[in-house]
Amino acid sequence: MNPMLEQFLFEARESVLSIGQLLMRLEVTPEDEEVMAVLFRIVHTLKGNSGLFDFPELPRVLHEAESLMDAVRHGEVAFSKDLADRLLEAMDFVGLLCDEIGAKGHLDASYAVQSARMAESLRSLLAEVEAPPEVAAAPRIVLSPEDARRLVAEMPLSAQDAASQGMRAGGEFNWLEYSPVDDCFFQGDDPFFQARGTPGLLWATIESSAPTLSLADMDLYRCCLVFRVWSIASRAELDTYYRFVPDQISVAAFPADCFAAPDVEPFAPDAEPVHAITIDDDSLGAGQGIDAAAEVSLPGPASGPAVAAVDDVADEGPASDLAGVLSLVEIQSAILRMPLDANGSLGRTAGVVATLRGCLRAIGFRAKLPELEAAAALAIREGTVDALVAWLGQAFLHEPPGPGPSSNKEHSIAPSGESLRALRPETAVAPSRSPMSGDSEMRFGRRAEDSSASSKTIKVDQAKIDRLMNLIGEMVVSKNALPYLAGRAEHVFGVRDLSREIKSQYAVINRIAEELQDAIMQVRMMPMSFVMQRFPRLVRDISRKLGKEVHLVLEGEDTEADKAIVEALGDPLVHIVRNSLDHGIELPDVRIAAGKPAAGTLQIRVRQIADRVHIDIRDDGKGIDPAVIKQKALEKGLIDEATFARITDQDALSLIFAPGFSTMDVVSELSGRGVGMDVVKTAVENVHGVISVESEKGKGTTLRVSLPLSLAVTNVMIVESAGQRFGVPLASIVETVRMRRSAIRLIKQSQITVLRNSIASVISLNQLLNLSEEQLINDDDELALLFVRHGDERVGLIVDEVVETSDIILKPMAGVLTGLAAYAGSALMGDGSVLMVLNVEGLLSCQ
Amino acid sequence: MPVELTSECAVFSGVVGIDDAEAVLSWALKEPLATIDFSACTHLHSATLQVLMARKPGVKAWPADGDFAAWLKSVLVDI
Repeated sequence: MNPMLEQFLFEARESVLSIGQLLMRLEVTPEDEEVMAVLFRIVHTLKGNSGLFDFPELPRVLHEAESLMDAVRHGEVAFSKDLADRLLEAMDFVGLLCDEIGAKGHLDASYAVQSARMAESLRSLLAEVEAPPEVAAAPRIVLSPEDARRLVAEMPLSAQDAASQGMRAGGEFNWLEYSPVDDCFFQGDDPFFQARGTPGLLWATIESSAPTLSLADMDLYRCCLVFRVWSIASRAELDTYYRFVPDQISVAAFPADCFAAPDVEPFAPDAEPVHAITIDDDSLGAGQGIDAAAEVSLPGPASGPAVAAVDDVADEGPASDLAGVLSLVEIQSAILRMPLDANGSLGRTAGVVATLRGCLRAIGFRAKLPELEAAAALAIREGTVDALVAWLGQAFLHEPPGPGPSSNKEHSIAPSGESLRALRPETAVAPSRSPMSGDSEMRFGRRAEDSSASSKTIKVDQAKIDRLMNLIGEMVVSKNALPYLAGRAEHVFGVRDLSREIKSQYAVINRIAEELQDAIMQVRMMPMSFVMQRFPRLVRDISRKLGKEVHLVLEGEDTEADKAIVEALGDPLVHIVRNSLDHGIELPDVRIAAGKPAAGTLQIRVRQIADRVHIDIRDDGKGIDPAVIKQKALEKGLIDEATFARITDQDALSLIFAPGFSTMDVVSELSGRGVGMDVVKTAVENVHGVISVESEKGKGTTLRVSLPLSLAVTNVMIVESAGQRFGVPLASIVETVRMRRSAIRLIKQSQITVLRNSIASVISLNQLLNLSEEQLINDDDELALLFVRHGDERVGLIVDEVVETSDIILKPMAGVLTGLAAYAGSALMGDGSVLMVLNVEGLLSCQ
Repeated sequence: MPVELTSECAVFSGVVGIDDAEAVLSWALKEPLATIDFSACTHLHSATLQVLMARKPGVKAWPADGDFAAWLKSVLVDI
């Protein structure tokens, strides 16, 4: 797998996790726009990143999720629990896909169908609200009758006929402008190909959005085309066809009367060059504000040659018709101020006047026309343009042109080209947000996120930490060789001073090594929130499914424990929580009948006490009835009649952990829990933990789990048997005693003894390990016994000698030896010897 | 090779992709008077199209596909 994919998967899992959390936060506070924005951004980023890889299933689902969230963000769709359900489900699916990619490196074909279904289900949520499939649909614009007629007139007659026939038959007739983004070629787009395939295509034109299309300084890979398409396809079809670039198109429906004979004078010859100039000058990028341009529809019955040109300007892109007009005026003013060429001056002045006339009409300012004519006449008569320039300045300076939008007064035009130019950006930027501006904000957001890359946290591969752990383990072991060396220096070589020096050096190295070990342990420590953060979601989902109301209380999530322990705890805890919800907490009406609040409380509390982590999972449900448990256990043969008669309630409760108890199919009808609790117990014991249950009928149940903080260092008792040393984990030892040989009796084949008034079976370690030697007896005819926990009983192990306890770093068995259940692993001792550590449970089970 | 560029005429055939755009651009700069034969061409990538739009070359033969020809005519023929 390439590193980029690896990184992506890593980030994707994190994203999916935080999306889930944010969704749940939104459930509580659906109005929180900030959360929504963060949520949307994460989904957006995730979608974008997923598109880098050849797994179309991911972006397919994420795209729909994003659209849905976008709709929610804009208040088009209300946030509901069902919606959250659907989104959470989708995120689970994404997580699943990531896992699958991580495991196999590819996705099975079956996921394609699933992802399509998932996407469909998300889309349907949107569709419920908006009848047509308006997935991030392009802005809707409205064509004024003039625009519509002019646009229709641009088509050849045959196309006009087809369109009018189609409309008479009840079909739609749409005008679409597709302005691909500059860098679309790099995204693998071919806008021309896209435009050619437009459904219902009748007629189309291509224009350039670049200032000038000159070959010499052309950037080949920057798209500067704008496609204008006349189509008889429905709006929905167009939206669907352009669904990948909804922000780059704008669609407008032609009104029914657009085929009426247009009331337009024939084009004046001078309008055309103006058109060309304005387009060239339009460096603002077409398409940006086309919707805004249309919103500010032209007032009054403006028509005429230059109006058409002005219209074009508005259509091509500047923010509004006003901006277009201003740019035109600016150009005219510049033309007038060009050095005069005697021959051309007259024609040029006439052209300028014609354009200005058009401008005035376009912005509905016909009152100024006579003034313009007068100034023009003067200019032509005198052969200078001064009068015209003066009029330009005066007319646009003092009289805001027309009933245009917003602050026209500020936009008054000074005659100088510079000030006009300075005005333009303002007027151009003024209109409402276009879809593009939203996008650029998004990019800002991402950049802000990137900058946090220099945070103080680094993500390190676990293998590297493990390697450090191993190294420090070796260090501890070799450090422990120093006291042996000191002993040898003193006793074998008789150099006491050297021995003392070695010892003092050892003290220093010991201190550093211990601190080092501690530091590395800290690195491996993880907060319990790692497993607990999934509970809100779990509880929410299960309780919704069961129709129960549950209030989850988490405490001490930041308590830390070794990574291995935290991870091993995940599944058992989920199991316990699920059981509590399923069997513990009652339905709301039952609870109310029992005098409890309708919503049950599930409390998960984590505390660190000394070197152990204690986790209490407490519910206030109906509790476990020991009598029922006893009865079921008896029926299943887990206990005999005698046990049934004398077993205490507490012991009866512990029966839920018995293997086989869970396999009863009636268990779900039990008042208590029991599904797979033996599995939970095994998992907890695998990390040297202890689990117990307390319950009060009708009041609730508490499960207590206690775990060591770390697995790295194991405390063992070193024992000797048949001349060899073995380690026994202290966690499994109850006590060590010396017993007279006579205290051990033989009943049939097994030995037993009485320890503190209870009977315990006894077995010799040599026998268990298949060593032929007899266990040694000390001078007082006593045997050394190690009482260990085996299930719920105590078993005495006879050994030759109990030596000492020691902290060791346990290495699990490797290779073919992993199959040996009798050993938990091995450890290297300070003197260089290898200590085999017994797995008491495994050892006793395989007898 | 979908594009054959000579000093007199460029012959486009099949789909002219974005890979050919650069060659077409340098050809267009070098041979300002050469014409283009589109007869066997079925599609032009937008990048190539915008080069031709800037150049407005003479066209020796339009594409066989009428719709495609209409697209090209709308941009390559000076109105």
